[in-house]
Order: sequence, then C-alpha cells, then structure tokens
Amino acid sequence: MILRSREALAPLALRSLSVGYRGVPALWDVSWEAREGALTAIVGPNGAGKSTLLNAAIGALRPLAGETFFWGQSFADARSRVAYVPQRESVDWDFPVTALEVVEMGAARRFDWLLPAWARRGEAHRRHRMEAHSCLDELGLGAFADRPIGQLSGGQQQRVFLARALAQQADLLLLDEPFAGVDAETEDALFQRLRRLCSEGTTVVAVHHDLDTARSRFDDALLLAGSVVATGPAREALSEDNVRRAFAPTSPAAHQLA
Amino acid sequence: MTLDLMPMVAVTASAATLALLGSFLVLRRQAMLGDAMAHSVLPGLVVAFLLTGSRAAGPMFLGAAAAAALSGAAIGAIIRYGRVERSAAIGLVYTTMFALGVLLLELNGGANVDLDVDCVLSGQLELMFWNAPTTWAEVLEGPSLAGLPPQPLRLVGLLAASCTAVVAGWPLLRAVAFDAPFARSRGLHPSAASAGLMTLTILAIVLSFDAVGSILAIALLTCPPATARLLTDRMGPYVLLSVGLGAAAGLLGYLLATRAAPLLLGGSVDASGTVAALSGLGLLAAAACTARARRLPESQGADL
Amino acid sequence: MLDVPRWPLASLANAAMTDGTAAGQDGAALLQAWARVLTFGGGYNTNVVLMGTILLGISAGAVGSFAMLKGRALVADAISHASLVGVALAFLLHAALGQEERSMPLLMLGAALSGACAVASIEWIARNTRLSPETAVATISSASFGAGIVALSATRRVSGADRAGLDELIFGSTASMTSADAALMAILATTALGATLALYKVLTAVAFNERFARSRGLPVQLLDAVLAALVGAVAMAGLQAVGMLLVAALLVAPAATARLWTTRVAPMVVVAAAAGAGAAWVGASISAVTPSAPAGPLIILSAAATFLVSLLVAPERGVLSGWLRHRRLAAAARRAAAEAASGATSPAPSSTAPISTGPSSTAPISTAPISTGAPHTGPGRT
Repeated sequence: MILRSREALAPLALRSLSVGYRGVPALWDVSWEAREGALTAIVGPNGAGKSTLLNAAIGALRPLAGETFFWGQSFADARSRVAYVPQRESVDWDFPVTALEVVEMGAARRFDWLLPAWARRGEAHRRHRMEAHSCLDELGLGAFADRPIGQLSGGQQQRVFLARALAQQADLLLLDEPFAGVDAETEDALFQRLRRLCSEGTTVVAVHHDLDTARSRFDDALLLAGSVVATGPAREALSEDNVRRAFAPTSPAAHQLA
Repeated sequence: MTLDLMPMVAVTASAATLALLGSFLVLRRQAMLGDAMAHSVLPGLVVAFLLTGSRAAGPMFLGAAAAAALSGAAIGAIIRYGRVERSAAIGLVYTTMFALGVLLLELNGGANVDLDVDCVLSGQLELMFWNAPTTWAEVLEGPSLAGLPPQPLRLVGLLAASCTAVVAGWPLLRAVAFDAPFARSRGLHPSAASAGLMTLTILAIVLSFDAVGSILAIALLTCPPATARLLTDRMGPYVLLSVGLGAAAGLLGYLLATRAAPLLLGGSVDASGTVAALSGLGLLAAAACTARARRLPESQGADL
Repeated sequence: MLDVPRWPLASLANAAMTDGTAAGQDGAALLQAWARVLTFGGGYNTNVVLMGTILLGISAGAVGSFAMLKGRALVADAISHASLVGVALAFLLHAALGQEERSMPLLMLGAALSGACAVASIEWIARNTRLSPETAVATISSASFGAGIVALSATRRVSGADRAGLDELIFGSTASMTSADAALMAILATTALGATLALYKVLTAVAFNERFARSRGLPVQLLDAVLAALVGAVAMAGLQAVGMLLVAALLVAPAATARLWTTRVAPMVVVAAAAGAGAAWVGASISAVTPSAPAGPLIILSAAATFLVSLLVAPERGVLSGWLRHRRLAAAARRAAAEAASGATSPAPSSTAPISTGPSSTAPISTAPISTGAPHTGPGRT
C-alpha cells in the first residue's frame, strides 16, 4: 500500500480500524491521526473503545479490519519509539518489586533483559541503572526508589508508571488513564511534565475520563463512542453538542451498557 | 550413609524445584493453574504408560505435556467462549482430566502393578532405596554405583536446569509476571515466557509423580511460595525463600514421616503427605503471624 | 465383619448380564444390561443406588449454580479434599473406641468437620492476608489432602478394623454401596436441595449484588456460611458415590453447562439440576454394568461431555455461534474499510442507532456518524 505523505509523518495513524470482542463490535471503522508534538486526549463514555483503541494500535488485540501506522511503519518496526502505559488496575500493585526496578524495565535494552543485577557488571549496566534513577528523580520519587511499589500511594504508583515510560525515551507515549486515582497536585505535576515532553517534540496520546481537564489541559481530542464522534482541537471537539451525542443513550456505547 | 539417602535427595530436590517454579505461578495469581496442571497430566501419563508399557521418563513427559497443553487450551477456550469464571473453568477441566485418568487406570487396573492409583497419589519412594557405598573402596568397585536409582539424579538435574533458567531470564521473567501488556509492547513474548516456565513445571510434575506422587507436587507448587509471599516484599528474597521453605519442608517432612512417626505411632506414615501437610502448616503459621485487618473485598456480583 | 447386608451393585449387574445370555460379555448383551439398569430394571439395590445418585446430581446442580454465581465454585474442591483428614481421623477414633464396624455417618461427620475447618481457614486467609482467594484454596486443599493421606496411612496400622471402602472414598465407588448408604446420600442431597429452594430468593439476591443485599438488611455473611454448608452437604453426600477428588466437578460442571444456555437464575438452576441428574443417571448405570469402571469418573465424564457439547452449540455463548458472529462482523468491518479507502462515504451496514450528523461547518472538526456493524445483541459487558 502506498502511503500518503501525511501518513508517513503522523506518529500514530489509524485506518478504518474495527475491533470486536466475541462478535460484538467494540470499535468501528475508526480513522484518525495523532498530531506530532501534541497532547491528545481520547475521551468517551465507558465502553466507548478507548482502551481497546490503544490495545489494538500496539497489536495486543487483533483488529477485525483496518491498519495502524506509526510514522508510516508497523508497530513492530517502530516499537523502540513508542512507550505504552497500561491502566493502573491492570497490574498487581502488591507485586514484590521496587519503584526503581519497575522504571528499569523501561530503561532496559536488549541484553538488559537477561541476568539479574548482581550478575551484571560493566558500563552499560551502570548507565541503564542511572537512567532509571534520573527518571524517578524527575518525577519527585527519588526517595522512594527502593520502596516496594505496594507501599506507594495511588498517585505515586501512576508516577512510577510515567517514569518507566520516560525511561523508554520514546517519541510517542500511549497512556491509558494516567490520571486515574491521582490527587489534584500530582495531576498538575504530571500535566506539566507531559507538556514539557510535547514541547520537546514528543507526541502524547492519553485516554482520559474528565471532560473539564480534557478541554483545558489537552491540545487535541478524539471523542469516541464505538466509532469516532469528533476530532480536532480539544475545546471544539469536546463541545457540549458533541459530548451530548457521544454520551447519548442511543449511542452504541450507551446501548452496550444498557 | 543410610539406605534412604536417595529418597531423601529426591524429596528435597523435587520440593525445591516445585517451590521455585510455583513461585512464579503464585506471583501471577495462578496458583490454581499449578493445581490444575498437576491433576490433568494424569491421563497423559496413563496413556503413555499403556502405549509403551514402561515408566520411561521420555514418553511419560510427552504424554503429560500433551495432556497439560490440552487442558490449558480447554481452560482458555472455556473462559473465552463460555464466559465461565476462571476458577470454575479450571476446576471443571482438571477434574474432568483427572476423572479420565482414574477411569483409564481402573479399567486397566488388573493388567499392571507399576502404575496404580496409590502410587499416583504418593509416589514410590521405596523404589529408591540404595545401598550406598560406605568406603572409597566400595565406590571404586562400582557395583553399588550401578544400582543408583535414576529418579533422584534426574530431579537434581531438573533443579539445576530450573535455577539456571530463572537466573538467566530474571529481569525478563519479572517484567512479564509484573506487567504482561507492557512487556508485550516492548517486544518481549509473555506467552513464550510462560510457556517456557510451564514446560519446566510440567517436567517437574512428571518427575515428581514418578518419585513422590501428585500430592506433594500440588502442595509444593503453592504452599512454600504463598508462605514466602507473606514474609517478604522483594522478588529476589521471595523466590529464594520459597525454594528454601520448599526444600526444608521436603527434608523435614521426610524425616518426620520416617524417623519421628515410628517412635510415636509404631510405624512410618506416608512421607509425601507429611511433606505436603508440613508445608501447609508453615503457611498457616506465616499467615497467623502476618495477618492484618483488611477491608472487606468489594462485592463481586455475578455477571450473567 | 459383614453384619450389614450388602448386595454389591456390580455383582448384581453381572448376574443380570450373564443369566439369559450365554455370551454375557459381548457388546449387545452389555448394551441390553445397560438399558435394563437405565430403566430401573436392575434389581432393588441397584435401583436404590441409582435413584440416590440421581438425587445427588439434582441437588449438586442446584447448589452448584449458586456457588458458581457467587464465585465460590472451588470451595467444593477444598471441602472435598480436606474431608479425607476427617474421614481418616474419625475412622481412627472409631477404631480406638474398639468399634470394628465401618460407620458411614461417623465418617461423614468427620469429613464435614474437617471440611468446615478448611473453608474457615480459606476465608480467613483470603480476608486477612494479601494472598488471593484462589491461592488460599489451592494451598489449603492440597495441604489438607496431604494431611489426609498421612492419616490414611496411619489407619493401615490399625489391625482388625474394617477398612473396606475407606480408600474408595477417594475415587468413589457405587459398587460397594449398601442401600443404607444410598439412603443416607439421598437424605443429605434432598435436604440440601430443599434448603436451596427454600432460600432461593435470598441466595439470588446475595449472588447478584452483595452490597444491595446488605443494604436490604440481609445477613450476607450468614448466607455465605449457609451456602458453604449446602456445598459441604452435597460434597459429603457425594463422597461415597463420586469420590472426594471428583465431587467438586459435580457441583461445577452442571452449573457451567446451564450457564451456557441461559442468563436467568431460575432456568439456570433447573437446567443445572437436569444436567446433574442426567450425568448421574448415565454414569452410575454404566458403572453398574461394567464392574471395573468406577462410577465417580464416569459420572464426571458424562457431566463434562454435556458441558462440551453445550459449549460448542449453545446459541448465545457457544463456540460455533461466536465464531459465526465473529466472521460476519469481520466481513462487515472489512467492507467498511474498503469503502473508506475507496473514498465513498460508507453507509452503516446495519445501524441500530443512526445519529444524524450535525452539519460540521466548523472547519477543523471532523465529525463522523456513529455506526455499528452489527446489532448489539446479548449481554454487552466487555
């Protein structure tokens, strides 16, 4: 397939993407592009397919039809440039790892996945650990590096996840509900950090559930309700009218919840 | 050296291996899956035995692996299509496989003495008695070495192999167990990693079946890791502690059953059962020591 | 030793099989004998045992439905595994008191006590430690079964007592059941069934929404305990016929089968009871005519076969219908993608909720119509 130039440039482009669970559509015919360097919110009612969209984009779900491009490439080819942060509830926060060990997972390259820390020496390993440390410091978690993650608050856990994404040094961040369970202060700090990333040219796409902050804090928005309701600059895409249509009881997502 | 050195080695090595591999199952909250695997390999073992007429490890492993793979696929399909809750799907599949195994065993019960229901439950430790050489001269002469039972050596070998695999893939296994979606996005293969662990687990179950029976296998896959999980919050110590607790339960349980029980009851009792019970007692003790008040879990209404 | 009169089912069936036909072993005769047992023509004891087993199947289906709705399917597994300790200890106690005869009610009492201990420790671990309920079940059931095997091996040291049937409790056997045993089983099963039907409304309320039930003043914790007791009663009843390692499946399989066919509680209980009864009927009667095949595994395999067939062909949740739905949906999705690629404005394939697109005059906003490829049927929770 010959790509148009815009597709080749967009950090994330969906082409007629449809996904279904057990024969029930969760996402229908979605075509959309993320703007480079923008902070974009994916908004919609429960069951609108927001997380499904991210999962299908990174190949964790097989779509019924359609394609996803990252700078015109498949996810497998662009993998090293993309950081994915799943929903906080998707992992067991009682898991016996420390904050630093989680962030190291983001900094890991190739051979870092082999052999435990005590068995590895050398420059590469030290650099990998330093990177992880600095990412934690950057989000104000330096003092918690050796804490088991189960002892951190919800907001701190979200910051650990974001630190892990930072450690990947990616050009595109895909975040699934990064502000869920976060207090206002942490939310503010996280937004500032994401804003700085965007100004450095990184593209951030986040599933978000709060309409007010989606309008005020994000550049762009994708309003979903099974399929695309509206896209564009956040304030305009999330106009009262559009939101009412997306959350209307007749929309497919609302229908599914009934 | 004593006559039952080899059974002792076998129990300890098998306990340590199972605890090591089980620690990953408990970490991923899949304890029941270990239980299921240990039950559902039975028809595979019986079919392999009936086809080859021997208890050779190779065919037995292939049969067990086939049965385990079949039940794994069945559990997945039932959860996915039947929308049956996970634990119910597991319970359904493994009891069915176990029933099939028992039926096959009973139908052929008269025909063989090598594989019966009792040895499935408790193994055949008594087959491992070995007249160990007591002097170097005897070692050099050789005949007693030739009589060395193979099972304990195999179990020690598997323990070494499992340790090597876990150490070599440590960060990968940790990432996959902690956050599989993330690991997949990084190009790791969570399903391949768990398939590798599962293969080792099945191998450990098969070799343990041969040596110490299924009860031991099931209890040691779950109890020592669960105990260790209560006692530490770091992954390295957790896995080490789990292996240590497993080995200790194995050795102590064996000694209790064969040394202490005759003094108290006038005869030894079932060794694998004692090991299993001991590991469970360890868990209860750890739970009693670390219990903390917990919020009532959120209501989990059934989703019909 | 054999004061209790016994008419082993298997030998009766053998007699039924061999008398009349010279070649009693051949297939046709076996089928004939099976048909006779199936239609309750297999003699008094055979019929009593068969009836008792069918009652067991019915109550296992009904109780199992609620256990499954409540997410407690595996409690049965733990109760039955743990019952071995109680059985063996009760046996040892009985022998220590100088009794030589096997007393099934006493063994069941021991089993019930140890089963209750297991359930209590599982609940306690799940509530008070960080371990998941699943881990608690897996650990306690396997460790207590280990303890049971130890106690069982200790019973071998007791000389003179009648150990007959003790080992059979592990894998189950109807062949050695007396009609008194069968009556005990039937009484237990009927009691559990009656209690379940009497508590039908409150159990349903608790299964569906615990918080709502609590807000309505229902004693949720007490009802949990009652449900566990009912599960325990069925497990005890099934101890002898199905065996402690397999009786959990009798509670799970019929309920899971029923769930494939219906989404409402009342039909689910009925279908589960019917599936349980059918499995018990078929399994126990096959066992009656093939002496080497124990009833427990046969009953469970019949129940599993019913489940398997249902899993394939059930209309809403079946594999076949799901696969067909998926294919239809994928084809519609590909069509939509092709139309989008060719630039045509794609009309929704079969839109359930066509929403008029507002005139998207504001330049940068592109609005698209909401369309769904297929009608949203079925419970749409993802």
